[in-house]
Amino acid sequence: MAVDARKELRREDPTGEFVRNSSCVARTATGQMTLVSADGMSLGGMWYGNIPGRNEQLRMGFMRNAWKKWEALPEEVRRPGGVKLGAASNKIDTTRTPHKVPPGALVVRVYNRQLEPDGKGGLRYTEPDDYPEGHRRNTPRYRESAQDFMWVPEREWRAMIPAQAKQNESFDAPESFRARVFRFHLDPCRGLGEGVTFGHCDADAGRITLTVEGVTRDSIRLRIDGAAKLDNRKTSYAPTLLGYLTYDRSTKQVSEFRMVALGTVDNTPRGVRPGKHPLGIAFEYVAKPRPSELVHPRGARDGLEEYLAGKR
Amino acid sequence: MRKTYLLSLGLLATLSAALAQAEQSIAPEQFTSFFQKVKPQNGESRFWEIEWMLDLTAAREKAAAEGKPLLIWSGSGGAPVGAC
Repeated sequence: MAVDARKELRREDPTGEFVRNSSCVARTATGQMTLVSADGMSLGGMWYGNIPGRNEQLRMGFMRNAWKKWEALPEEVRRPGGVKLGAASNKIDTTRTPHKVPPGALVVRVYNRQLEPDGKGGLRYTEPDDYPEGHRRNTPRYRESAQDFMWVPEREWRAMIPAQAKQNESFDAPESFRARVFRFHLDPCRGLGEGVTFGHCDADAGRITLTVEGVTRDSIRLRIDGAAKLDNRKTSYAPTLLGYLTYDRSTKQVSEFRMVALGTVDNTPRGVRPGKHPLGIAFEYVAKPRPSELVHPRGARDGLEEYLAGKR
Repeated sequence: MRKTYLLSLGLLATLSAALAQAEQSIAPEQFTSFFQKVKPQNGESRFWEIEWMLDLTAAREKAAAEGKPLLIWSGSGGAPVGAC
């Protein structure tokens, strides 16, 4: 289970009671892991913060101890069907359940990658010494690819497919698409915390243009070019974008959407990297999302309709 | 003055020409290499190897039916498998 603790704690239904009674979710953004029985007995939990050099040891220790408590529970709790939940699923507080992907929307994975100049005119992955002294230097996840999701509503991606596609024809991406990308998905904060760096930005913070690059009987292939200048007075990011969108004319569905952004971040959020540093971001359409890939985008957390409409 | 970077992280060396352009533009022929290198590499984000469920009510029912405990990973700013 991977859940938004704020929502689950406030549910006014049997699942909400289960969450509150078992204290099985986090009270902080750092998060926690908890092992709990289906009838609500907490078997142990741990804060999910970074403890340099000891993360794996501590997490495995938590799991071993919690599993021992599970094995010590009476057989009637542990056997299949042993716990009866009654009407738990009949009364659901739908105002607190996770957002669901709108029908027909594209699910796109978004990856952020912090980079550094390699001293030879190139770029390299970051190393511990690239970060300020202290805990940031010892946080492995800063050096890894961070992740988010983007949802592209059906009306929007269909608007990007020309009815009479002509080679080299160019046009602007829909305003709502540009606003969503600039506001939520060119965000150097992903992987660092839950903040939104450029939430005030609109579609005019940059440009995204589609150009018909290929037309066949079976498909239409579009190239995506763009650039943005995003700034919140503390942090700025000025990437250029390149990508491709392929539309399958027989299925009338998108078969490919991939895009990358590369630019310089000035003052990475949360003090993670003061000064100017390159940041790469990659977008990839997921044709058949796994259940866990249906988690909503960070940008939709506080308002799905606004997120999809590109409105503030 | 806008800074220009070349990408030369081992296998990324071939991207240098593309990224040497003004405004850090990415040449189409370098697109796939750069795209792959921004994505998670082996050993990164291993939590994605787990099939996390997102619906707690459904997960609780599944745990009860199968006689298993629930491992709950939560964050007060959102589900940790999403953005944080």
